[in-house]
Amino acid sequence: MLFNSYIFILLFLGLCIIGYFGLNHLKKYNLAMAFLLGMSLWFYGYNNINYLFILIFSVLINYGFYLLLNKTDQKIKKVLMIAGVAVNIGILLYFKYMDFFIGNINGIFKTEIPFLRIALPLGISFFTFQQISFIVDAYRGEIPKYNFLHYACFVTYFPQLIAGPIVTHDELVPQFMDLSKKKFNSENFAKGIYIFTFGLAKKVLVADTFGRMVAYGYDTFEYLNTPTALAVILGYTIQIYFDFSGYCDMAIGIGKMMNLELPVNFDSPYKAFTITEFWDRWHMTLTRFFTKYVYIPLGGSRKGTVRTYINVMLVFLISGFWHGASWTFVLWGVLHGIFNVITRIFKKFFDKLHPALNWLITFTFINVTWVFFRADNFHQALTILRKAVSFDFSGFNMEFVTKIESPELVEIMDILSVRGAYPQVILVGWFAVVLILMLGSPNAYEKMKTFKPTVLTFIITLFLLVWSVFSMEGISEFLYFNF
Amino acid sequence: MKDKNTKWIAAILISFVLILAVFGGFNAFIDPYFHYHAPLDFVKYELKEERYQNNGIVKHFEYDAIITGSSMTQCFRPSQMNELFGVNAVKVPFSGGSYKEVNDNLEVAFAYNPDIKIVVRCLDVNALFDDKDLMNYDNCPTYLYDDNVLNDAGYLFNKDILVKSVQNLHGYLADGNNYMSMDDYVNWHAYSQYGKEVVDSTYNRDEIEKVDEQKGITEEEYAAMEASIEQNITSLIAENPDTEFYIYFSPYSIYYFDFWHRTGELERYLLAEKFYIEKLLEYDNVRVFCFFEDYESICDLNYYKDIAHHNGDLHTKILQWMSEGKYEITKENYEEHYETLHNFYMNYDYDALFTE
Repeated sequence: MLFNSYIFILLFLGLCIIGYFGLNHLKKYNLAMAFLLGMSLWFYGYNNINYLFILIFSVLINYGFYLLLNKTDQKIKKVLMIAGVAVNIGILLYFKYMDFFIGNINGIFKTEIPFLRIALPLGISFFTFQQISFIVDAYRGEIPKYNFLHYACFVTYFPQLIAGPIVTHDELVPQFMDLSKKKFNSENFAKGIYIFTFGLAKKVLVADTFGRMVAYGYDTFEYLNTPTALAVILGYTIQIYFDFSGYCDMAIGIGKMMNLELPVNFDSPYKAFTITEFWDRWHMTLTRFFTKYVYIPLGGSRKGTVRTYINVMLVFLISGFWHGASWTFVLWGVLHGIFNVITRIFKKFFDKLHPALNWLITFTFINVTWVFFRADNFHQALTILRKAVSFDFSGFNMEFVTKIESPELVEIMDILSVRGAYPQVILVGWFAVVLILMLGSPNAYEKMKTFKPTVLTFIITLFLLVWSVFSMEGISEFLYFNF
Repeated sequence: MKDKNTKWIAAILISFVLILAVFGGFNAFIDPYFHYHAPLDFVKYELKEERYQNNGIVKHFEYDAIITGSSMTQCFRPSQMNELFGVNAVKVPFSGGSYKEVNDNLEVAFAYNPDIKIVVRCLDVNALFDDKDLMNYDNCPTYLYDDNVLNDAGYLFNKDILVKSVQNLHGYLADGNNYMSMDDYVNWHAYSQYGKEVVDSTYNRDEIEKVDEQKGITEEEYAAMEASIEQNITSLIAENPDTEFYIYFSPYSIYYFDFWHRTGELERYLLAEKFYIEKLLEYDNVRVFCFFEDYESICDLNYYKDIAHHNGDLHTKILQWMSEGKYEITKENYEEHYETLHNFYMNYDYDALFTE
């Protein structure tokens, strides 16, 4: 099920909240948790029931490892921990990367091993990492006693299940146990609606709108010229941020409605002045995971400068591969790793530059690397980048303009009689508004923190909610589902 | 009300539900895709989107004849059919529609309107071998095809529909005109270019490797065709003995025959057509037509915009021929028809078409 679907907004969410608080109100706390688990499983299995078995299997086997880890002595513990992590990585490798390996083996050894063509189970990258962190923490003895119901609810909790944020057990399970959070809280609920609506609008109104133009540009990449290539590149930079962070805002909002705090995942990343700052602001729970479970175990920055740089490169290599089973993702990760290392080596040089120039360098780098992230292959990526700097200003293909136009905006512009004279008004308007909001205004999470139940917030919320719901039909899936 | 937050939440939820009810109700009332009811007199509807509207057309329009098929039927004028056959016809083409998709729509039509007198149906010759369950699109708005109101949210709470509803109502209120033309529905006759130059530009003959031997049809292929005919064509014919089915094979241009000839598939397609004809002629309420013997039309590229699609002038002729019984295939003449086509198209000097 998607957050931006009618069944979720008009049925599932209401049922879930009424059931959850209703059972808690009757002091049936365990029943409320079981209800939540059931709803989460429905949410996950809604589109493909087969995925559900993988999820349930994964939860059961990890809880099994946790029980064993609690009962054995130190020596066997290490073996168990390694086995547990290996099982998780094995499942991920099988479902996500098998065809990538088969393709490469076939390419190198001229073999013809048939592809498995498995449909990637939603969110498998997320719940795998979440459970790896759980197993490692259990091995380190950092986990108090969790019952199975709480554990299962923690992994499957539907707001964060399929696209993060990557929540850790110590963030969620204690909240499940906290009886003071079981009662409906109007302030939290209002804030939840507020940020959920912002997230929905970011996804449906912005990301999907830009997504249509970007998809068209990538499909016809051979015919781009400089302005259209730049629009497509910048358009994707906007799309991926609004898509992913919008999704996380919705997740945070749903959690908030139920008095459950989920970690922040995006902190206006495009406002970053350096690439290291970008990674402190973009997909923060992933960065946190890699820091704690890869970078630091590798030695972090404690083993000298060269080893630090190698560790940074390794983290970004793994990160690239985690994002997708393709060499374009690997290159994307490697480029980020290299630029991170360069930024560290020449820190003094970058510190002396004007902040605006630093920002421009960082933002340009991010834009360029997103092309590799989005492209199907290197040829497509390099062609688009080449077109962008080809100084070919042979007009603006009007197809791009129509892709970003929606009927209600066309109607309004026609009533105002501006579209005849300025056919690009909607395209330019979208870019201007979104860039100003993205770079110059507080993000949704910051807005939520200062939320007040006023007439103004009422009007904004209602307007965005209605506009978004009426814009949901026929829209793309979340980009991050395949990660 | 206890506190400001509670009031705020109540205001949001109540307003949201009210707006949904008002806008959704308005969409259901105007109903631009005829999902719930027939067209209203005081609304100017726009016929444009086949996969969204054909279902509603066959469910709720008043008619006793149907013209259906793929994009090969888009330039028919139902008004001509009404004149020739004394019926009230609707046209429901599906661009790129498979036999199954067309048949599914016909099934809905008969379910809602058992008194259909005539069905004119085009069979795309290039789909004769297609799998019986082939659907060329997996993003059809299937929630509009059933009668379940619960899955209609995507229609009712949809800004595209809302804008259409407003436009449709405004269109009538502006000048009191509710004219909706079935003839013009997805009819591209006036908007396309035709002739040798145009068709040449769509046909890369040099890239098609010339095969010397013509291929035949395997037993499995015959079995698959039989299954497709049964499921997608003749089952409805058998269930509706009082309806006359006028079935014809899409008259592609001579370039298409060149294409089959080069790929070694010409004989296969002629044999397949013969097989279809045999199966169709088993029913008394079927009249089969094939216009491949009208060489004047097939070889005149001025009717065509590409190697397959002909313009409305040929559609006009087709309806005329059907009403006169010209080029009708019967149990008596179908074998001779096959021989005639075989002789002509197997021996045609295709190279001469391309030498200048």
